[in-house]
Amino acid sequence: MKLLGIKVGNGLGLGKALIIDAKLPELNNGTTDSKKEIKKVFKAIDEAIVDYEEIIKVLKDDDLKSLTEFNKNVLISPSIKIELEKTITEQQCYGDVAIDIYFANKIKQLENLDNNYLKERAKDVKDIRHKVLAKYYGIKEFNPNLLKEDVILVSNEMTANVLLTDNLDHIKGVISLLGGKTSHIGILTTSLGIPSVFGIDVKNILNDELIFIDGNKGFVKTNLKDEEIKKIKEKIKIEIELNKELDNVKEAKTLDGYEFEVSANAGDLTELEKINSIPLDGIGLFRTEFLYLNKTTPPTEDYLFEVYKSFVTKLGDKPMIIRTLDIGGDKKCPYIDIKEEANPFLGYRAIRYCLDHKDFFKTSLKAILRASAFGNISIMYPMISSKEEIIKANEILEEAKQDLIKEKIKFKKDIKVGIMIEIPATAVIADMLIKEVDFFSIGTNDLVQYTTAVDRGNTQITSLYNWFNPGVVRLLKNTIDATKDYDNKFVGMCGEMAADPLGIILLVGLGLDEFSVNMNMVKRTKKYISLLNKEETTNFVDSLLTLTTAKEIEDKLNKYAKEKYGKFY
Amino acid sequence: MTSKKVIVRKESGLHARPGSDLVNLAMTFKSDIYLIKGDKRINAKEVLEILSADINFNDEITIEVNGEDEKEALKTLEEYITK
Repeated sequence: MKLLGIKVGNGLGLGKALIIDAKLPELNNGTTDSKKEIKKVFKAIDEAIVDYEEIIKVLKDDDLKSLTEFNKNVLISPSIKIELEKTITEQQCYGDVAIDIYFANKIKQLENLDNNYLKERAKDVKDIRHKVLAKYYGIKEFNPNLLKEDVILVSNEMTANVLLTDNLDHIKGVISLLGGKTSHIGILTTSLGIPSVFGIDVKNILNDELIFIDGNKGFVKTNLKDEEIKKIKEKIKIEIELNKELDNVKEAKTLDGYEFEVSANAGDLTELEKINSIPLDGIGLFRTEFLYLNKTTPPTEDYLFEVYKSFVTKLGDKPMIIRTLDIGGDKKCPYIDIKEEANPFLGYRAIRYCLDHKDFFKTSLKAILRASAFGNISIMYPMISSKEEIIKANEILEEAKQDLIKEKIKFKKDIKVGIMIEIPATAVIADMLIKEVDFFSIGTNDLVQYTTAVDRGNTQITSLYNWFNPGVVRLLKNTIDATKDYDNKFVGMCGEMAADPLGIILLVGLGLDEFSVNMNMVKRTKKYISLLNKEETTNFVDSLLTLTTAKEIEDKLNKYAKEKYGKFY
Repeated sequence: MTSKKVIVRKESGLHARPGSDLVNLAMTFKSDIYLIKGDKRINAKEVLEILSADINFNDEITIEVNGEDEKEALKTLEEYITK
């Protein structure tokens, strides 16, 4: 059975499901000898600290080290023992109750903050509580050092503790119902290169059953047949080879010498540190939402400017496209007044909100303009549905420029301005809109959703969400073709399709200029492009344009991919 | 006692990782060390207090140190927070 989930950590894995029962006994009731309990609790904390210290000693990965360091620091805090002792003495309760009270308070404090990042950290504190309680009860935790065969760890709420080890050889994957990309366990699996898929309920998996996890596409397969197992093993072997080859990837040059730009999507401050370790050609989509969402008051112009500047300075002369705020009823912000809507994706969002809140929008534009003095920055408007909106947005941009001139602040006067092509109406009149802007960036996630009228989250109709739907392909072609008459204009793509092996063939053939993909897909995308011949692919893609069903297009692309990508597909 | 107003220059603010590093630094001193942000007074040796204070890039905070090695402690922490 195929179980669909959320892809978190890339990679493929095959192993026996090991369901980790994270359940602890119920807390002790009643009163007891305080002195004995205090000793027991202190011992539990000391043992947990020793555990973390030993883990830190053997870890090589910096991310992992600092996360473990954080856990340790929570426990060596000067107040923890004082508070626990106080609770036990005052309430004459058992130690586990005191531990629970202490951490429950800390967790509540973090969860009450208006900051998603800090809310996630509350989960880390839950992991620490779990560890201290396990020590208190003398429960042996799952120990990866004792594993003798390949396993995939499964739990409804995986604690990060299980991965704090360097002995990971037998851990082929992690499946959890709860958790996200920025959860502790999510960050860990990503940085350790362990495939992980979240959002899958444990009850669908049998303990000890051989299962397959695909962290690239985000699914788990159970009830495997022998034939399937053989194929999966072959796939994993190739994946390992591909990863080795990816280490040498530098540029995306086709076999016949055409070079494509492959840049990364960014927006999370933690990505700043990764920029120089990935062979990216720029940032094709800088999402500004993150800077707005985790705040109780609007970010200041100075703050935004500093963030943009720190990114663009790191990029050197590589381009960075900053997308103005893309926010709507689905993403709440205390200071942004967007009412509850029945259809936030068809509602008051992004540029529609910004054009109505001129000062707010102008502040965000001024921050981008100021950063443009320090590097190769362009501005991109999201959710554009008509020419009027471009003109209005540009008017406000012009006012922002005039303000800066008055304030005698430097900026790039001829900063490039582009729009997202994500609403079908704009793809249809791309030839008219290109006259108004310097570039397009096709946002396929929304373009496909709006064109096919399919909500991506609705599992009953997911099969209809397909970027090879001939209607979508025609819109893509129309958009790309519209830019071809202009030497100084370009078209990029910042949706998931740009990193899809089959999508890449279609886009190279249609003549897309820039692929903007997630950081961890940059090398892979470059590799695929470099295995193609541009002229030949163009001819091949031409032949697809007359096909009338998505299936025919996909089948042909599949065959072509097998031939061109060879063992890498 | 000695204190100083500083602007946070850590791009990702004083969250988990920088917060943790800050605690490690603070722990090397005998003095009591507090970070003051608005009306919040945060013990710099308590990583959860630092985390909950949600100290961000460009925030203005006061470092307050009291104890035998206060001068050196203030210098070290200021350097870490503002570099």
